Amino acid sequence: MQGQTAVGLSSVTKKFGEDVVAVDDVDLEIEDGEFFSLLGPSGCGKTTTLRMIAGLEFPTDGSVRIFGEEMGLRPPNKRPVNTVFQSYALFPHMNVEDNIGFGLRMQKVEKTEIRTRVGETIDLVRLTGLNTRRPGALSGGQQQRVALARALVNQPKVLLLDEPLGALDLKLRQTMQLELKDIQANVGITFVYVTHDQEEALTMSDRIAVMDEGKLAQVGGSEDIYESPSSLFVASFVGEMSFLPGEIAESGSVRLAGGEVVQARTGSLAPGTSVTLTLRPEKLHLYGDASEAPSGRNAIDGTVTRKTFFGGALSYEVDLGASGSFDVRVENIPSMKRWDVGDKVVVDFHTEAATALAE
Amino acid sequence: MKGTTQATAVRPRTDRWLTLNGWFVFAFLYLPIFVVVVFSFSGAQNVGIWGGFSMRWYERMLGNDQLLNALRNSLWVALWSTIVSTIFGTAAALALDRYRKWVSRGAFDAILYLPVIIPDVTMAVMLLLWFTQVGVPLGRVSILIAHIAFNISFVAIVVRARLAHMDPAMEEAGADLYASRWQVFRRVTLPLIMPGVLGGGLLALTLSLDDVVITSFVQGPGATTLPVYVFGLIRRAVTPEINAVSTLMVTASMILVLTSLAIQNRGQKE
Repeated sequence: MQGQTAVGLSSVTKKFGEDVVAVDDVDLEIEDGEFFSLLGPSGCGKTTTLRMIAGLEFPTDGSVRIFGEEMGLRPPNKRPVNTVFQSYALFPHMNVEDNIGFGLRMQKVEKTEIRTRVGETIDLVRLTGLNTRRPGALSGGQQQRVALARALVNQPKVLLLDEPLGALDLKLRQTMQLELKDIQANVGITFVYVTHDQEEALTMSDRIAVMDEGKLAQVGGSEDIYESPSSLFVASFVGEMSFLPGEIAESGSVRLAGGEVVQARTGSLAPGTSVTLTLRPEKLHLYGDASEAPSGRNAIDGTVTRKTFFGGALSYEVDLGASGSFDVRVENIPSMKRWDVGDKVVVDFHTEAATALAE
Repeated sequence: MKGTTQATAVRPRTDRWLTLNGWFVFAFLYLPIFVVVVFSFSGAQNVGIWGGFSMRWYERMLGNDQLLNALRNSLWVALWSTIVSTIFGTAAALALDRYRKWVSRGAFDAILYLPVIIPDVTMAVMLLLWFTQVGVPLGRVSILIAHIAFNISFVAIVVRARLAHMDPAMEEAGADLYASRWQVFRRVTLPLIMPGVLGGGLLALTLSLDDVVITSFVQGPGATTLPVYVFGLIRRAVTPEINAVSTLMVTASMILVLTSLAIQNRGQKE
């Protein structure tokens, strides 16, 4: 991703009242043409960050730049960005066409051009034929499309989306995720997308900023965030993860609470540091005994304590005694060996699959 | 619809009693009005006696200059007090809804409800004292000011209820779509609260046309309103002419209330 900075935040802080710090000293550069997500639990400051870019809130401290231009106290109607609101905020007293054309009318665009651009955008978001409907007569998915069209038609430099798919059911949400991604690739506008759904963020984004309590926890590509979480918060928030307490034995290995020493990614942590070993359930393998496991890797003895069937996959909870327990996820394929609760198993995983993170 | 059928099936007896009670309440409220309307067409000289169908009391009403003058005053006061109080009431509602950090908001809020809560007589005495202190001559203008004073509260309350239901993101969306503050108000806020504004305005109109107590305190010689004039008539001599006047007023009030309800209903559905 090499290009101009579309949105730049420099030590942006937002306080509500005296002691509520919603956003705490955030530095962020969003590249032109990127699909960028702000991901985090509710109350982490992601929506406030988005609203500061839109001009609906102003930073208590720090600065917001859009394509190099300092925004300061510039009101929302003077910023080259548009927002898709969580509640859609469609105007109930206007039909689909008038809703979509609102921004162009306010900018005093010529009537014939408004008609052309509204028509094109209606086709782009696949609402053809619903031009004269009122928002109240549309389904949730259609309303969502109108909200998207109403923002896109203005050809903003940056499109801001505040949990736009939150109100839709799962199937529709998944369809819309792919469609949004396609639309973004088509129009080439920078998207800044706020969500609390880590799967959604992973699916759609070029880069993700994980936020926690007003601070940036990690910024990186989807795979980066998933494969190399930089903190326990990111590790637990993004994807499934099992945690085992332990300490660094030497560089490249971790001693678990029960005494087993396993090979893991330890980074630059010094021996003796107490750490948490993080393991992705799908990167672990189960065997009947140690001789079946590939040699030279980690092989720990354990007992199956729970089995959960998901259809496409099975999940086993494996107990290691004093070292704790973790989950193993196995794809439901014909050659898969099934285990039952109480079975003695050997858990094997590659060094790369285990990451030690300090508290 | 489904719920009603179910309730009827489950508890028919309770339902029958409730229906009966409903009819009783309606009878209690509307029978006297019905009687007045019927007797306004009576040809007899006395109020409670049926003397055959006649329009004579309506004719006499239209020939009564004092009464027509009072009617003109009523309409003039009602119209202007409605216009002024709708504008100021709406502005007050918007201010109370928006400026949440405003220090005196709580106090202002309480004061705004005062005219609704305190007895009319108290309000009337207060206004009369104030008019004489300040030196406002009693007449049409003092009646108008008094009506504006109590109507603002009613309009503000109705408009605030409407504002409370409005998604704050609506105005933000307007601003985000390049509308200036005035354009946001004109194109988004006002259309959305319009049912409340119209409903409040009609309520103000009705209250102004109906008011007796406050008006009778602050009126001046030669400038009275229709309800006060009617009240005066009763004290002197009760003639069926009053029935005709009352019928006219009931009809006008009903039309206003029904219009107001219709407008508010339409607003709710959107």
